Amino acid sequence: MNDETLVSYLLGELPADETTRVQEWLSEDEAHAAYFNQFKTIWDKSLELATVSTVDENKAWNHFKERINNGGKKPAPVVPLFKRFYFKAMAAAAVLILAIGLFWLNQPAPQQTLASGQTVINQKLADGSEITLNKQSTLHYPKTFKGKTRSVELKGEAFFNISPDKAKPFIIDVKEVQVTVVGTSFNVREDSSYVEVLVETGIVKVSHDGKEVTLQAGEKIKMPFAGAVAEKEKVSDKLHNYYRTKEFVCDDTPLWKLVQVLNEAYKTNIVFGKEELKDLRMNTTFYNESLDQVLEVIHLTFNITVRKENGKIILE
Amino acid sequence: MELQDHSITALLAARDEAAFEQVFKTYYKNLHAYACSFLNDPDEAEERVQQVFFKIWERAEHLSFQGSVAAYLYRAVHNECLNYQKHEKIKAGHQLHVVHRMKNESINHEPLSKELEQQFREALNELPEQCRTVFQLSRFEELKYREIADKLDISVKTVENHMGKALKLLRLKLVDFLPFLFIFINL
Repeated sequence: MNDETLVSYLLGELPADETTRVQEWLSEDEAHAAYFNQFKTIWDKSLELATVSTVDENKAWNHFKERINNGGKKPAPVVPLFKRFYFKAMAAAAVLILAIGLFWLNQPAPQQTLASGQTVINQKLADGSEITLNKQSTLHYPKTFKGKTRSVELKGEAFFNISPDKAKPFIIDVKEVQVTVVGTSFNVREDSSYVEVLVETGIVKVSHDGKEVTLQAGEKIKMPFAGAVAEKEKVSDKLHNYYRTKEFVCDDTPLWKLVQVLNEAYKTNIVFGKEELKDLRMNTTFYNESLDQVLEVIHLTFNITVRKENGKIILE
Repeated sequence: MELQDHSITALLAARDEAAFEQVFKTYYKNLHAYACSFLNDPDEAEERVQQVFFKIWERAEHLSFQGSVAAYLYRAVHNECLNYQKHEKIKAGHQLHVVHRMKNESINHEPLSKELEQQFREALNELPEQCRTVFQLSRFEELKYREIADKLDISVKTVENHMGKALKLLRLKLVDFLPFLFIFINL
């Protein structure tokens, strides 16, 4: 398949019979498709180099006529009205201040990086949005939000409480997933194979790989990186909040779920010695308690033995 | 309004102001966008396009169009911009280290995007003239092959060849960056 034909196909300039031929060729071999995709990437991305000219051709024509009358020189600059040094200096200062101002305004906002390490961090952004960054997580954000969107980049997990601004959507990039909101609160968590988005208030748009899902309050979704279809789920507990509120709220919560969050929060390896314990239901709230205190409550509630062995904590 | 090339050439040669104005206003915006894609500086781009029209005005009686007026204008802007850039490069030689320092400072904030955009621009501007013009009309002015052919007074087959060549050359120049293009140019 020659490059001209592929490019014509890309631009929709091929007759139907040839289009079919190219499509067959593309599906024949992954290498063919990959080769074609290189063209497509270049084509798609090149659009970002496009300049939209906002010049006014009527004004430009008038300038041009002046130029002709001037023998090709740019139209002469306006003679200053005040010739005294004082005025010139003032004018120069004004221009300088304006120039510095414009320069400053046009600079891309400096990026800040917030890395939480071993502690949970609360941070207010320039637009008033509040972010709670879980341990071992990183957030890149600009010092001020310029342009048409508010964009940040997250690694790990964070809870976002976004200040409403319909004209300037807030966009979070997590791995390959993009989360877009205008003003709401929600949790974003990155895992090795998916990104989980859980909405507390408002509406959140999650997009990945060209697909888009809209989540309402009380819904969550796990967007897998590879292939599989993502399904919306109802949020059934408030456990995800633990790092923000320092509370483990169990409301008819199965024990396996609490254990999962405890493992995440305390970086422990709690396992079940007996399968039937997994579905026992907890109804309690732990507030800022140590792991041992929590384990003690589990022990007393269900009469479960808690045994520590080789770095594991076994419930049986 | 479409311009009839044969009559327009004669009118331009006679410095007919109305004809000139019509040509000027028809093409000015698109030529400005074209010059911008080279210079990445709207004001300088305007100056270049003005300069092109001025040269045509000055040498009106010696004009000879081998293709269409559009082809002639795009070619003239292309050459004007490249000459200007060459000239600027020599002038800017001694300022290079300052620019370089500034680049290094910003590198932490924007790891690749600016550099990639630069690569992309350079690759685009290294295309041969007609190839570049055809690409400009197809991509940025979003014309179909047929429309480009009519505008430049060449065959559809030639347009197809130029587009194939343009993407082939861009691909060769950018192939090492393609994995990054997927990700970073958006930043």
